[in-house]
Amino acid sequence: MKGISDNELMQKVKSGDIDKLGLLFERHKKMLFGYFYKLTGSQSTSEDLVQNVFYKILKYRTKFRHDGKFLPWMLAIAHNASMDHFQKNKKYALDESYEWKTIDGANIDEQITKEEKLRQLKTAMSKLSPDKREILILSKIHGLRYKEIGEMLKCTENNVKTKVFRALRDLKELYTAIEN
Amino acid sequence: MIMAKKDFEKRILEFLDGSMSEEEKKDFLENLNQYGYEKEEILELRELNKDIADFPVPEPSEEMSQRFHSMLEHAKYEKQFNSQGIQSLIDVLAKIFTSRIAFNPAFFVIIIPISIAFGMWISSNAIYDKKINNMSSEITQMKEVMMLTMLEQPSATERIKAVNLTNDLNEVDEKIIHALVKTLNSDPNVNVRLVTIETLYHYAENPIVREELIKSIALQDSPLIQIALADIMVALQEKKSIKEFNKLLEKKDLNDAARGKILKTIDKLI
Repeated sequence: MKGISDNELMQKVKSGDIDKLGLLFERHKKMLFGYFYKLTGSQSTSEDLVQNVFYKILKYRTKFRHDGKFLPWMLAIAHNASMDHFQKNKKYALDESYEWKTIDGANIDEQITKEEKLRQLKTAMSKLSPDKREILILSKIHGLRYKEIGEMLKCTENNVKTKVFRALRDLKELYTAIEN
Repeated sequence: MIMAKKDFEKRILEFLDGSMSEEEKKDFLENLNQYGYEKEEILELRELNKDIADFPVPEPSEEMSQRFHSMLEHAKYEKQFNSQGIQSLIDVLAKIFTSRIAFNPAFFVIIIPISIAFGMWISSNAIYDKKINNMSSEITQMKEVMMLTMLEQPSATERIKAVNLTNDLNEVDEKIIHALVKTLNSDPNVNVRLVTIETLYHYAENPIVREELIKSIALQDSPLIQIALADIMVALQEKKSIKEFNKLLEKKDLNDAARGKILKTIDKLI
């Protein structure tokens, strides 16, 4: 049901109909969980962070601007939550227990190759700094534009594009080094 | 026409994102060498870019949704609780004044003396103040009971909410302080203990709270809590804590980051 937009729902939450936050949660919980999971590699930490983001949305609902867009606003809160998490825990690498889900629909050989590739990619990702890791993850979120990422991270659209490209290039170097 | 290398990097991104037309792609790949890139290198980047998007992510647990909905229920309850008194009076008045009865002349014969009497009653400050005081003390008592009950819940989120409820209280009595200290020293969840430290810090002007925070230092095993307490002791400039920090330093299994933080804290306090 996409009849009512995220922004309209958030306006309702802002004006006191906090029940509508439930709909926003259902719409975005998976994407937000994925964002945190790719950043931290921990299921429980990611679930705590999702809870934290929605708690903040509720707490600061009156700060949502009338002309604002919900997705970048929510991701800006998520970005701050992840930065706080890394700062508090002083741990920037992905969780050691990061487990890759089995890839469906592939034969055993393809599956092993793909899993090996993903494991190497995970190792390379964990060696990237959190800001580079984050910008790569953000750039893959469906519906989020470079311009909006720029607003979130307080930099220009062009700057975001350059950062994404450079993060990708660094990741490639790390990945190649691991592969060899 | 040759573009700047930085601009070309943006073109590469457009290629990787798949936002180029077939003709643009062809043109882009043909001109790669001019900017010092190999076709193979760019195709590998595209593959990698795709793999990041396809990272497998597990499903979030059902518990995550349950926790959110319980938080929402709690917020709704609090909102209703805060506005119920005033709102119900407004509702009653709105119902009366918008009903048919309000257009009946007899209504005014009745409502005018009632209004005068109500006005006199409300202007009697002593009675009014007393009523308000009674009401707010009842609300405080209810919040206290709610907080103490929620602290006993098995869910860590509920216990965090319980600790946060304290922030709504204007004053905390000994019973609440005792409950918070007990939580700080014995709750199995680190997040609950961290929130409790922050809350107790708000009441650090109270000498009992200060003393309990200091005593708690040697009882904590988690480096996160040890570091949080170290930060608070520096903020409070509490020299009495040095003795407790020294006790921690004697522990052989003390985390390195916590040890470093404690040593710095002692330096700042001396």
